[in-house]
Order: sequence, then C-alpha cells, then structure tokens
Amino acid sequence: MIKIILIDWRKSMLLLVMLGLACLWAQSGFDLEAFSDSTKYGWNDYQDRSQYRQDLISRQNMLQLYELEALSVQENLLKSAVIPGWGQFATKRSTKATVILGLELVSVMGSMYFYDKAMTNHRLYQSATQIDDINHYYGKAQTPYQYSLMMLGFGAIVWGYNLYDVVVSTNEYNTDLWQDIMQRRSTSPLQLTPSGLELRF
Amino acid sequence: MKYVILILVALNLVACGVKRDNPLDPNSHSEIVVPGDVAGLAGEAFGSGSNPRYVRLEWNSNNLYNTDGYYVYRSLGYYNAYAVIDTVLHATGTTIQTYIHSSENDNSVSPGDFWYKVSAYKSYSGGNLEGRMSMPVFVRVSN
Repeated sequence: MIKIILIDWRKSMLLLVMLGLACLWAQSGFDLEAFSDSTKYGWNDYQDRSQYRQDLISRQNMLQLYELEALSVQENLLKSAVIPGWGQFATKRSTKATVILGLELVSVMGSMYFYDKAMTNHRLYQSATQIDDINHYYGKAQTPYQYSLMMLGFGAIVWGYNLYDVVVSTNEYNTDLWQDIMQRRSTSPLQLTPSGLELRF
Repeated sequence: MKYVILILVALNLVACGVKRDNPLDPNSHSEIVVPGDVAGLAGEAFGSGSNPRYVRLEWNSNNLYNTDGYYVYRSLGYYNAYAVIDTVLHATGTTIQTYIHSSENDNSVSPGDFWYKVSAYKSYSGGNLEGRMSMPVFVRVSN
C-alpha cells in the first residue's frame, strides 16, 4: 500500500517539473514587445486605428449586402436546366438568355414537327402493300426523322452550352455585383446597409 | 467544340432510323419476294349495239415463284387515278394471262375511252405484296 502511494507521489512530481519547464519554454518563445507593438498594423495613432475600424465595418456591411444580392450558382443551374435561359435572365444577360431560349424552342419545336411528319409517313409506310409505295413512304419517313434527330441533337447541344454558360454568367454577375456595391458605396451619399438606410454627409 | 458537334450530328445520323416494320417490306424480311413486273399488256374491246360489250386484256405470264395473282386497274385518262376493278389468280402452265372485263358483270363497261394497267401480287401472312404496275394500255369501247 505504501509502495503504491510512493510511486504516485513520484509521478506527480515528475509531471509538475515537466509543466514548469513547458511554462519557461513558452515564456522564452513569446515576444512581448512584438505583441504590444501598436504600429504593426500600420496604425500610427488612434485616428488611424479608428479609420481602419470604420473601413472594416464598411467592408463587412458591403459583404453582407453582397451576400444578400449575390446569385447562387446551384439555383441558377437548376433554373436553366428546367427552362434554358432562365438562369441567364436572372443574371441580367437578357440577350444571351433570349437567344438560348429561342434556339432551344426552335430546335425542340422543329424536332417535334419533323418527328410528327416522319410518323405520318411511317404510318403510310406501315399500311402500304405496293412495293413502290413501301419504298416511297419509307424514304419520306426517314428524311424528316433524321432532321428531327438532328434538331434534337442541336437542342441538346444548346441545352448543354446553356448549363455551362449559366455557371460562367453567374460568376461574372457576382464579380460585377461586388464591383457595383463598392462603386455604389463610394459614390452615393445614401447607403443601403443590412441594418437599414444610412445617409452620409 | 466543333468536333463534338460534328460527332454528335454524325451519331444522330447513323445511330437511328425509322423502323422497317412493315411485314411486307422485303428490306427487313428476307423471305419476302417482290412480285415481278407485268410486261406485254395488250387490250381490245369487243361488242357493239345491243350485244354485251367486253374488254379482253392479255399479258405475259410471270414466274409462279414471285406471283400468285394480278390486280387489274382501270382509269378514264392516262394520268388519272387508277382503281382496281378485279383480281385475277395466276394461271399456271401458260405463257399468256387473260382477263375479260364484261358488261355482263360490270355495267361500267360502256362506250368510251379507258386505260388499263395490270400489276402482279404475291400473298404472304401479312397480306398481298403488290409489284410494279405495267404501262397503261388504251382501249376504246365503241357504241
């Protein structure tokens, strides 16, 4: 019993010594002068520090505004996947959005038109019993069917490009938005901040 | 990018086509034989006055391998639409096939100008596959 207490006492002492050594090492590594140097951030006096703080607060406000107005890439991607051009409309790229939507509509409607034409001729082909009619209606069904597939393929390419473009457009929009917020901040006396309206004199 | 577009277009063109699902289409059914063309068609009208009128058509026999019978067409003009007026079974053992279009059976055989065509057909489970039509022959039925 005495032996066990003796061993525990020795262990405790060893731990205390090691703790003391660690504290001494930490003190020697800590530069108190560097820590207390108020000019390390470029502040020469309290006015500089105050100006820096104002600037920091201003940037935080701008960041909050940016987060409020910035568009989500995922959301825009989903929009454009459902209706091509929708995401581009959200990023204010109306011309590009109109072109994409128009091309998509033309290709899909064209594809449907040619498919319908092909199927009409295919039904005539299926009911034909004369060899010339069989060959004639098959040829008349095959050509619009290929046009239909080509237009569908074109639609798929436009759709794919639309998805690629919406990611690029959204990123560009968000970059422009940050520049715009900074510009608005610097020029307008009336500021819209996350906490409300702010009038500067 | 342009190579991707070209590949997609090429894939579209070669990958798919309209199904050849007509049971009489020889391009998709190897057992289907296309009926031979009808050649040597000739026609002549007989009868006048109160006697029954009839038109006698003759043409060269097709091979039994590709022909089970013939469709006889008639029109009022060379370029007009032709309508089937009768079906004739292929007569074996003869080099000439004959058909008589008589006013006793069809009162449309009346005085006037007519154009006749003949085509061969072959019977299959999916129906009769008809071959190409012959050149039209002119027949004038007199009063």
